[in-house]
Amino acid sequence: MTALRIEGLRKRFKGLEALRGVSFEVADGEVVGIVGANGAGKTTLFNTLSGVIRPDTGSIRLHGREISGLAPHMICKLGIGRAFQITRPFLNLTCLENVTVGALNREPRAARARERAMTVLAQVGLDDKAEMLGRDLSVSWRKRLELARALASGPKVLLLDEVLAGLNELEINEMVRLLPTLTTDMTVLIIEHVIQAVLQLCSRAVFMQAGAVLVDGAPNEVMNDPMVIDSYLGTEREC
Amino acid sequence: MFQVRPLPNTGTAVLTVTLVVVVLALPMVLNSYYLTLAVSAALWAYLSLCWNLSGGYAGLFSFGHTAFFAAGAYTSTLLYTELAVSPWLGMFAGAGMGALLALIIAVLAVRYRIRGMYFSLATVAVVEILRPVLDTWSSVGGSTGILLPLLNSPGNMLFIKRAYYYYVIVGLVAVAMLVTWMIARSRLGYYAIAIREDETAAEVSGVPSARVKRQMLAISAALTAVGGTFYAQFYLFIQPEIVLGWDPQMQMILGTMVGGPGTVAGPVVGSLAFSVLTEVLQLLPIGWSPEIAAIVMRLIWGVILVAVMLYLPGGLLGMGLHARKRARVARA
Repeated sequence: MTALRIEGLRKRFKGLEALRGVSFEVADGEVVGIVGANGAGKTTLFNTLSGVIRPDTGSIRLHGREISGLAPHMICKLGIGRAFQITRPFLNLTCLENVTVGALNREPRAARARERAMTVLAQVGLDDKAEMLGRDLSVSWRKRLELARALASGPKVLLLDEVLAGLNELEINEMVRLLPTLTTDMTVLIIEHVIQAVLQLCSRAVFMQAGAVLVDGAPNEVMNDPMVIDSYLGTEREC
Repeated sequence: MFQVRPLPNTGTAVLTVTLVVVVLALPMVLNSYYLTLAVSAALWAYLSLCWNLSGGYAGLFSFGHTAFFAAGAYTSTLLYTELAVSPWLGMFAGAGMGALLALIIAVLAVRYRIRGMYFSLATVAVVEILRPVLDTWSSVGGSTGILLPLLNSPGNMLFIKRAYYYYVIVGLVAVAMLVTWMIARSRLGYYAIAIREDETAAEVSGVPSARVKRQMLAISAALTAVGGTFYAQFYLFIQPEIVLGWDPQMQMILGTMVGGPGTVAGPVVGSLAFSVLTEVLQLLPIGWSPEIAAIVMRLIWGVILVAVMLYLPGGLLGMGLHARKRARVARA
C-alpha cells in the first residue's frame, strides 16, 4: 500500500523556486533516502510534508488522505513525525519533559505519557539522562533526544533530516545500528549526506536537484548515476 | 513504574504545615498597619501567580495584564454600584470579561502571527488604547474613578476588619497555586512550556499552539480579573491611572521573574521578597520623603531585574531546581 503520495509539489520563495513539481510515492514500510546537494530542496520538501510551510500547489496524500496545507499539529496527529536537521530540543525542559510533549499525542493523560516517554528514552539510550535539561546535552545526545521526541508522537511516517550530521564516525555507526531497531513498521524518509549510511539504511534513494526529483531507484544505482556523481563532485570539465 | 521525582519527605511536610499555620495565624499577631501590608503583599503574590501562567509557562510575555486587572475591577464595581450585584458574583462576571478580552487578543495574535517581543508590544498597545477610553468615559467615572462605600457588608465583600480581607486574598493565592500546580502536571501545561521553548518544534510534535495560547491566556486573564475585583473591594477606589498603570504590571512581572518563572511557588517567593524589600527600605532611618523612597525603590527594582535576567534566568527557585536536577544526574 502507498504510505505517501506526493504529486506536483511546488513552492516558491520570492525569486527562488525551491520545489518545482516534486512527485514520488513511498510504499508502506519503505526506507527512502533523499539525497542531493545543498539547496536541492530536500528540507523544503520536509517542511511541506510536516506542515511547517504550505506548498503553493500540489498534493500530499498520507494513506490516501490529503494533508497538504494542514496545520503541523494535525499532520503530527495523523502520523507524520519529524526530527529537525538543526536539533530543536526544548532547552529548558528535561529530556523526559521533551519526549513527554511528543508522547501526549498518543496518551492524553500526562502520567501515562511520561511512562511512554520513559520507554522511548530507554530505546534511544537516554534513560539515564531523563532529568537532564535539553541545554546540557551534547550534539550527539541532542540528536537522540530529537529522534525520541519524534518517535514518542507515534508516527507512521518518520522524517529524519540529517540525524547523522555533526556526529563522529563512532557515533554515526552507533546511530546507523540503532535506527532500524527504532523504526520497525514505520515508513521512513531520510535526508542524508553520509552516503554510506544511505546505502546501509535505505531500500531506495531519491536524488533531488534544483527542486525536482532527477533519479529514483535502488541506493547503489542512484549513487553511481553519472548525474548524481556530477552534482556531488562536479564534472571533469569544471575542474 | 518509573519513580522519577521523589515524593515529598517528612521534612517538606512539616515545613508546609508550619507555613500554613503561620500564614493563617498572622492576623492575630499583626497590627492593622502590618496587616494592610500583608494583604497588599498577598495581592501581588496572587497577581504574579496569574501572570506566571501566561508569561512563565506559555511564554506569552504580556505587558498588558493590567487590562484584565482593570476589566475585573471595573466590571464587578460597576455591577455593584449601578445594579447592586454582590461583588462575590460580580467577580465571576469580571473574570468572564477578562477571559473574553484575552481571547480576542490571543485570536488576533495567532491570526497575525504576533509572537515574542511583538506580542509584548501589542499588549502594551491594548492598555494604551483602554486607558483613554476609560479616562473619557464619564458614565464609568472617567479619569476621577469610582469610590466604593466604607461599610461592613460581608455579603458584598466589604469588611471593616482587615483580617477578613487577608483571609480572602490568602484563599485566592491558594487557589491560584492549586490551579498552577494542576495545569503544570496536565497536558495543557506540557504543551504550554513546549510553546514557550520553541513554537515550531512544539507544533511539529503535535502541540495545537493556537488553542493552547488561547486557553492559557484566558485562564491567566480570568484569574487576574478576580484580583482586580479584590483590589477594588480592598482599596475602595479605582481609577484608570491606577489600575492601568505601570506599577501593577511591573510588580506581576518582577515577582515572577525574580522568584522563578514557570514554577508554582516562584511568583509567591519573588513578590514577597519585593514587598519585604520595599518595606525595609521605607523603614530605614535615612529620612527620605516617601517620594524619594519610591524613586530609590524603583531604581533598586531595576537593578535587581537586570541582575536576575543576567545571572539567574530561572529565578531564585529555578536556580534551586536546576541545581537539584544537576545534582541528581551527577549522583545517577
